[in-house]
Amino acid sequence: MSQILYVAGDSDMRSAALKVVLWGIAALTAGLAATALGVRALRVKSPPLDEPLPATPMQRLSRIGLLAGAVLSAGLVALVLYFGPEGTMEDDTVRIGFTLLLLAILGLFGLLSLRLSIWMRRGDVVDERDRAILSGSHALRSVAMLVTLAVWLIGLMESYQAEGAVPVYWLYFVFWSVLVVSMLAFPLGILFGYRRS
Amino acid sequence: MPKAEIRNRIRRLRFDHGEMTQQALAEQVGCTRQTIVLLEQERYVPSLALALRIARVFGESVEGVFELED
Repeated sequence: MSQILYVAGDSDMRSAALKVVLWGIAALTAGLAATALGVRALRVKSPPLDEPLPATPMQRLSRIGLLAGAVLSAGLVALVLYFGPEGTMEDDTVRIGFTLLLLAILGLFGLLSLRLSIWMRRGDVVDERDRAILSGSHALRSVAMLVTLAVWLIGLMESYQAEGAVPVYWLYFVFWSVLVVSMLAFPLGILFGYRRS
Repeated sequence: MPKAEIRNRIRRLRFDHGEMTQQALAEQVGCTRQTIVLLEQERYVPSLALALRIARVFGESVEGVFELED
């Protein structure tokens, strides 16, 4: 009897996991859609400039951040799509690879933030206009992260409400997707902020 | 209140001050060259602090550099 109950429970959990995968995709999509909407709001049609604008150091840093963030995020997505959420967590090698990619994203994020905070102390590198753009980008990133988190939590609630418990590895994916959205939304907000002149 | 346009004479003043480059002005007032380019093309309205610093570099009053056009 207990074996039958266990099998039924396992099947329920598998079906719930499938639902969460879809909710996870929805969360990532919602976060990126919020970023796209924010970026669209930042765009202003204005006549072309009389002379080309030189790129600021913060623009160059954002381009590097966006490129590296996109490559690392694509690596994470590829791993999860190939091995599946459970496979990613159960296979030690895959889990370590996944964790190393996450650490690489965090390290990159830390390095770029450190560089930016050093520049913030120097007015000739980051000036008042850069600060205003940075502030807009922070707001955009916060909204995108909040939307991602909200969709994830709704998804977990809807998928596991009957079971009353959520497998712990989902928390890892929640953090990962919020980090990916943050890594993409922040430089995008900066780059489009510069286009709003 | 109607939106006011801020005009400025930064480009003229730069040339009157020994053809000062945009980069040199940016370094003296503590901003990026991109901000100077946008200021000259009247696409960016500076803060009061930046306006005061620019006026000081040219030895002018703020009104001597910037003009409010209704």
